[in-house]
Amino acid sequence: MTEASFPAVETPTWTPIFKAQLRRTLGARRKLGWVFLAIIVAQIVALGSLGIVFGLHISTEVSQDTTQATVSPLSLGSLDEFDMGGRVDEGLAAVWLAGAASLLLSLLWPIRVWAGEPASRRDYHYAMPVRRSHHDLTRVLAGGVWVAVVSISLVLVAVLTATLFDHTSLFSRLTPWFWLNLLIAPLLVYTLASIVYVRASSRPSAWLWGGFWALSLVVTTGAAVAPDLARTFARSPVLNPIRTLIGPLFGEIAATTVTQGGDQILGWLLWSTIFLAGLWIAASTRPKRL
Amino acid sequence: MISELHNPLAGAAAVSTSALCKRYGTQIALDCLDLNVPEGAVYILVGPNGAGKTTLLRTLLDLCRADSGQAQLFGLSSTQDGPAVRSQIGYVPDSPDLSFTDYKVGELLRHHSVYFPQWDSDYAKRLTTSLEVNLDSRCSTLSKGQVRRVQLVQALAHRPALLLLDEPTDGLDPLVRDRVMGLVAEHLDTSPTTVLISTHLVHEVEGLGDHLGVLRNGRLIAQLERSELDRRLLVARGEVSDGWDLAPPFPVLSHTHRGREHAWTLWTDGQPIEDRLAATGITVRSVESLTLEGATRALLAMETSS
Repeated sequence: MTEASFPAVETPTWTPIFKAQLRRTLGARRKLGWVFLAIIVAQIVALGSLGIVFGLHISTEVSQDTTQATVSPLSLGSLDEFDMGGRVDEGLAAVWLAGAASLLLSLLWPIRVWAGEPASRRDYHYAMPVRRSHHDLTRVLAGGVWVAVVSISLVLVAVLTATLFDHTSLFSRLTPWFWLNLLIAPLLVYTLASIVYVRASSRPSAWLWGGFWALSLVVTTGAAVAPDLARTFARSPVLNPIRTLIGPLFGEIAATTVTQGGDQILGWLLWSTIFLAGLWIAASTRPKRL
Repeated sequence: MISELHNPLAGAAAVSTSALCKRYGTQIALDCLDLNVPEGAVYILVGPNGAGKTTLLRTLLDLCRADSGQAQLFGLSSTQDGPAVRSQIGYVPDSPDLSFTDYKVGELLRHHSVYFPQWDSDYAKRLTTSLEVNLDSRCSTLSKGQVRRVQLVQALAHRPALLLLDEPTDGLDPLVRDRVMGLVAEHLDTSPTTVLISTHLVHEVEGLGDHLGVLRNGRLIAQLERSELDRRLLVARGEVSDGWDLAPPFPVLSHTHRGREHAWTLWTDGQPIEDRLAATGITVRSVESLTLEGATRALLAMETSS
C-alpha cells in the first residue's frame, strides 16, 4: 500500500496563538482577577487607614507644638529595616508589602496558569498543531506578562498611596536595583515555579512545596554545620538565588551601593539564565507516558 | 487464524502503522500493530474495552509514544512531523471533558480556531446550530453529551483531511447520536476526509463504515474492506438430517444449533455457496451477510476460540 500525499494546509502563526494564550491565562483567572482587585483595594484601605492614623497623630503633635510636626516611631516588627532614626517610613513599608505580595502571587500564579492541565492531562493543549515545547513556553510567557502587570500595578498603587499621604521620605535613598527587583524577582519566582508546573505529570504543588522544604532543610543544616560558608553564601546574590530575589527587599535596600548593584545584576543574569534553561528543558522533555 | 482477514487494502494509505508496540508496565496495549487506513475510507476500529483503541489513536496524534514501530499519516511521521500531522487531524478524544472549563463555549471555539487557519466559521456556526450547542454556556456546566457535541464542532469545523473519532457517540442520547452520525455523513459528502472511528458500540456506526479493523488485546485480528466482508463473511442457516456429521466446506467462525436448525458463520471464498453446502447434506434455508456488529462478534469469537 502506498502512502497518500500530504495535503497542503496553512500552519498557524505564533502571534495569534500568543494572544490566545494571553486571553487564556487571564480568562482562566476571572476569579483570581477579583482576588487581585481585592488585594489592591485592601492595600489602599490599609494604607489609607495608616495614613489617617498618622495624619491624626501628626495633627495631635501639631496641636501640641505648632512649630514642628513629628511622627512617633511605629513598631512594624520585621519592618524595622525601614527605621530611620527612630522613625518608620510607612510609604516604604507599603512598597515592601506590595513587593512581598507580588512575590507570593508569582509563586502561586502557575497553579492557575495550568489549572486543570497537569502535564499528564494536557491532551487538548498537546493535540494542537504546533510544537509542544514552544506551546508550553508560550503559555508560560503569557502568564509572565500578567505577573509583570500585576507586580507593577501593586507597586504603583503602593507608591501612589504613599505619595498621596506624603510618606515618601526614604524613597530618595533607594537605588534603582531595589525598584528593578520589584519586577524582576516576581518574574524569576514565577519562572522557577513554572518549571515544576510544566514538567510535573502529577501533583506539581506537592513537588513545589517539597522542593521548598528540602531547600529550607539544606540551608538550615548548612548554616549549622558550616556557619562561615553559609554566611558567604547568604551574602552573595551571585551564589544565593534567595538573596538575588528578595535581598533588595530586606536589609540592604537603602544601603545598596553601585558595586553591590553590580553583584545584584550578575545574580539576576545568572539565576534567570539557570531558571530559563530549566524551563526550556522542562518544556522539551515530556513524561514517558505521554 | 485466517490469513485473508488481513488482506492488503487498496489505494494510498492515509494512516499506516508498522509493527507498532506499546506497553504500560507488563500490560500490552499495542502488539506489533500494522494498521492501514486508505485515503478517503471510513474505517471502523472495533474492539472490546481495553483492546487498545484509544492508545492507538493517541499514538497517531503522538499524545502517547510507542515503544517501537512507526506510525505515518499522509506519509509523515507522527513523531517527527507532529505539528504538520496534527494540522490535518480533527480529533474527538475518548474523555468527554474540556480543559478550559472556565470558558464559555463560544470562547473555547474562538480559541480553538486560532490554531487552524483553515477554520470555516460559517460551517462552525452551522454545526453548532445543528447540534444545538449553546455558545453562551459555560464549559463547566455542560453535560457529557453536550461536551461531545462541542468536541465534534472542534473536530469538524476546520475540515481536516483526517478525522480521528474515539467513541464519538459515547454519552449521546439516541436522537442526538443519529444527528451526529448524519452530520458526519454530510461532512463526508462535502469534504474529502478519511475517518478512523474507534468504538465498541458498532451498531451506532453501522451505516458509515466501509472498512473494518478488529482489535483485541492490542492485536489487529482482522482488517477488511466492508464489501469484502459482506461478500465473504456469511451466516448460513439450514437443516441437517439425523446423524449428519460433515462440516461445511469453509472455515467456520461460529456454529449454533437448535434441534435440526443450524447456523454457521462462515469465511467463504466469495463465490455462491448454496450448492456447495447442499452437497454436504445441508438443506439451506438462507445465506446472508452479517451486519457490522454481527461480523465483529463473529471475528472476536473466532479469535477467542482459536
